[in-house]
Amino acid sequence: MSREEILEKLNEIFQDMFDDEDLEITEETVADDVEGWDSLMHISLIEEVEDAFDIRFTMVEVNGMQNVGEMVSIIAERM
Amino acid sequence: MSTVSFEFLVFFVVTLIAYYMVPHKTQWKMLLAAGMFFFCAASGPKLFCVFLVTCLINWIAAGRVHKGEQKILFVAVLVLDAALLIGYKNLNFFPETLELLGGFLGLEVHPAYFHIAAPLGISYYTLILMGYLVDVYWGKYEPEQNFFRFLLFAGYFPQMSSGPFVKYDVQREMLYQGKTIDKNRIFSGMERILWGFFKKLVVAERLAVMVNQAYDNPQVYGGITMLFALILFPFQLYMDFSGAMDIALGVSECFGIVLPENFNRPFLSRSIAEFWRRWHITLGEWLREYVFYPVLRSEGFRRLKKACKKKWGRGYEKKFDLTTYLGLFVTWFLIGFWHGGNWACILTGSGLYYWFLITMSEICTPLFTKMKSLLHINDQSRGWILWQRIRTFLLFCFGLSFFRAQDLSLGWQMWSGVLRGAKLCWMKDGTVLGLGLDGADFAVAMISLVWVLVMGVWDKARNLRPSPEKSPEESSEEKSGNLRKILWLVMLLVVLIFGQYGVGFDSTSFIYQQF
Repeated sequence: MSREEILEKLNEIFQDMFDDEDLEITEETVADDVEGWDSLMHISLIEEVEDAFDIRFTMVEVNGMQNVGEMVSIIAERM
Repeated sequence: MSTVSFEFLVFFVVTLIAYYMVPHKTQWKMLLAAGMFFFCAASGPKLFCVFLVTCLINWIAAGRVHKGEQKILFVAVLVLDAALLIGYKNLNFFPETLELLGGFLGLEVHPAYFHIAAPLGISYYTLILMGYLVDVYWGKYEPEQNFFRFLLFAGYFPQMSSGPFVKYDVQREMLYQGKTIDKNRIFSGMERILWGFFKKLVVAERLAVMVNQAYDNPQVYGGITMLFALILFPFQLYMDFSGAMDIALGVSECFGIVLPENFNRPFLSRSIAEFWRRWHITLGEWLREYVFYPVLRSEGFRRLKKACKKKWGRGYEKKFDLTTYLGLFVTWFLIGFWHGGNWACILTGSGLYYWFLITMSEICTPLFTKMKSLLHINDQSRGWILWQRIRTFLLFCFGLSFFRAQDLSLGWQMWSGVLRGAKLCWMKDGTVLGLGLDGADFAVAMISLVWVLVMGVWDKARNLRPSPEKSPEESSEEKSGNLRKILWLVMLLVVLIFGQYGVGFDSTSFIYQQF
């Protein structure tokens, strides 16, 4: 799976999780850019991504992801 | 040794001079020696040994638990850390709980309460050590090999008494790196210290007189005077705690070590959740990373989440995210426990009251959205934003009154006092001056308070100081600005003239130093 394909799949998850069909994420997107992406939503989002890609993030990754690009990198590395 | 004492200033200046006089590779050892001296002076040699042994145990354990090895040792040391913290700071939780339970059951129970002297900053350094151990266990970084370097990380004196909570991977480079003297940096640090002194000695100390007067005599005051005192306490606490942070961050800046910010203009928050992202930021981050997220990721919670999904279908969490609310419950219980270890703090002061507000806000969001739409409320209008800020402040004010009271019944007594004879004539007849300040001191307190808040809103306090992002030319150009020099000179004079200090004056210790 290429980075573009991962990002596309992530975009669908984000749109579904944040109930926003117009949401378009990029690798530079951070939590502040998405309305509703706060610490309460973070773990639910992480678990949706884990289920979709059949991977498991470590706690260091859960705590340390700075933007969507880092999430893409971790997924690409695991697949 | 309080950081607003003359002794501390002498200690700081001597350490600073020595720090820049010794070779670069020795500078961190100078900071270590200063930190150990500071600890001994504050707590005495016996409690210093407690700190030293705790650090040693955590350092040895970290060397063995790296990347998930020796789970039993890892858990045992975490339990030991927690036990030491509870044993020294929160032991009275148990007799208080026994007494409350006895009361509910109609039994006469009079358990003994404990009065134990605790090591300086145990509530801060314990969480810092636990965070370090967990990070090493998770494999975030390699454990520190040199015990004395590790000791400096845990016992760096500017952060000792009131925080902020620091992380090893962020601090290590700055702590051990040699520094060349930089006049701009020292000037900037000194400005921040002065700002902290102003908040504490000019504002917080005066507000404390009025707040203490009302809380110590709840039967005497009532009506709007009582409400005034209740509203003042959040401001007193903010001036006290953020003042302590300004001093800690300013002192550290002089040594070329940047500590994380703990406040971001909290009174501009539009919701309680936002408020707690802006107030005591490093504690919130610590609990999120080491309690809230790990609890939600634990096996038990994952199973519960799966069961919820099975019962209510995919996407159920958008309507009622049970696991997140339970995770929040655990986190807020611990926040309340950390802040006082008594039920007044756990239930209302800084604990489950906020959990209730945040959870209800999450659950009711769809309802609120519908109501706003029906009533044609523009939630970006100035009026609505102002209402949200006032509402958030008042909700915080209510919870905080129990934190100040440290006792549920006193908290209720204060608020029921507000309902006694609410008169507006206090503004004219000088009733408010009955709270212990004369007219001049009252005026100084109010003008200074408004000034700090306005500066905070405009963020001028920081803009007046050289920013690390600016080039040296820009910084020096800004530094040479006459306005800036005049402002800080005025500030120094105000602190010297109006500050509550000097022979015979016993400055109350910083509120967050108690934890």
